[in-house]
Amino acid sequence: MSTSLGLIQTRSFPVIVRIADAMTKSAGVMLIGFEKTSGGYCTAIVRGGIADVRIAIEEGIELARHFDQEELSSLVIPRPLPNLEVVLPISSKLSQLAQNRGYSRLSNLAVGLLETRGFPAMVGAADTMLKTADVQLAAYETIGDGLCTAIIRGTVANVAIAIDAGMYEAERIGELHAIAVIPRPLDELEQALPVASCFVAQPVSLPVAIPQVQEQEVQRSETAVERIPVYLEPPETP
Amino acid sequence: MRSILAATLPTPMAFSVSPGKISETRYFVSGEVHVEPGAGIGAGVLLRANPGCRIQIGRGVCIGMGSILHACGGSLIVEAGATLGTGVLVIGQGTIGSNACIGSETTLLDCSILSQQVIPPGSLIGDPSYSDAATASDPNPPEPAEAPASSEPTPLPPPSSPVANVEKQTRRWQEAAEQAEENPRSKKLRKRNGIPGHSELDRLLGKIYPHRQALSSNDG
Repeated sequence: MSTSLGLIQTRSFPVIVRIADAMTKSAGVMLIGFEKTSGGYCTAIVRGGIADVRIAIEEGIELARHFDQEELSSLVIPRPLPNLEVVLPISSKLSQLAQNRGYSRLSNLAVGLLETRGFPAMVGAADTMLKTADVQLAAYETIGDGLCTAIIRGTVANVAIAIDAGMYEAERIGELHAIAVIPRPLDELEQALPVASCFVAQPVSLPVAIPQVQEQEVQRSETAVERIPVYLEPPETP
Repeated sequence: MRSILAATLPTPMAFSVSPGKISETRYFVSGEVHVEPGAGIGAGVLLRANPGCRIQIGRGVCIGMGSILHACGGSLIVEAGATLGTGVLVIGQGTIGSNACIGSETTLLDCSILSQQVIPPGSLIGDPSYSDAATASDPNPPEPAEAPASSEPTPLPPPSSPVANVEKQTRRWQEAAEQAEENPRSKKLRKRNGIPGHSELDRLLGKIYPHRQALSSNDG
């Protein structure tokens, strides 16, 4: 039962994605999503059994300290009341809804995130990254406080080299804030990350209409059979 | 100082060795060198006094293998009972106090050591490249190499407080290190290293491209 709730907040999008990656790999928790309140504050939301949530949040705090995140806050609620789930975006049904949104053509690829303070630096870095290695710019994310994150996808070697090059370009143009490379993200994390609509293939409706067509044909043949005696009936002649 | 070091080898001059020392064949002496009886001098030791300078090795002094004592700009006195480890380099003028202990591989440039003082191995004391002020106020400026040689021992310069001298040097090295740190390039590098995820990316790149460090050695 996914009853317990875990929250952890940092002030950088790549850092929170990296923490979410570590949390989903550390214990059996489900990543619900990222809540981006403005001012650069991002919160990762996980659900799961209380033991799993506690392990995951501890792992996340350890990693956040490793990244020198000063304004770090976290919370574990063993059993949130249903009213809380109805109002706040913490319900596990949310992620299930999100998973039905379509198939991304960029899945099963490494993720690279590069965060700058200011839009031009992010655009410049994204351009350099695309020109440096075989990567795709999947989306960008803004979290307030001038922080913009470019999200790239590709094989891990391409992503690492692209981020390395983008870092220098971002520093040249403006202020580089954070970077992260996730070599093999879990499906949940992929679903929680934004993907531009051009990369999302809408689910193709398989030929599920075949039985219906067959039924119609049967019905038609039945009516034909019924009609035959009508035409065969000879006109009565006195 | 540098010109003195680069001076041509002087011809051996007054050289008095008293009988009773431990070894008399395996160390090399040039210039006015006095070794008192009871001094132990290791193999391969070089004792060289420039013209107008002298080296005096006191009673019971121990000098380790491969050490070099080069007197220039004044007298180099090693007082009784002092011990110099292997590979010690002493250049310039000064006094090594009685029963002082100099660790191996130490370099002493133009400085004095108090008696009973202990210098840890591998030390560098009195580096003149940082001491422009000290050289300017040197009470006994180095004599030119072509100064007339005299067999008379030159009078000892008044020993300036060696402890204060060492402290002054240390302060200068610290200042130089701080200046190097304030270099804008190093500041930018430090800034980049502080970015979350940078060290992780570096480790990842090191794993993917093991020879990258060698290729980008001039980077940054």
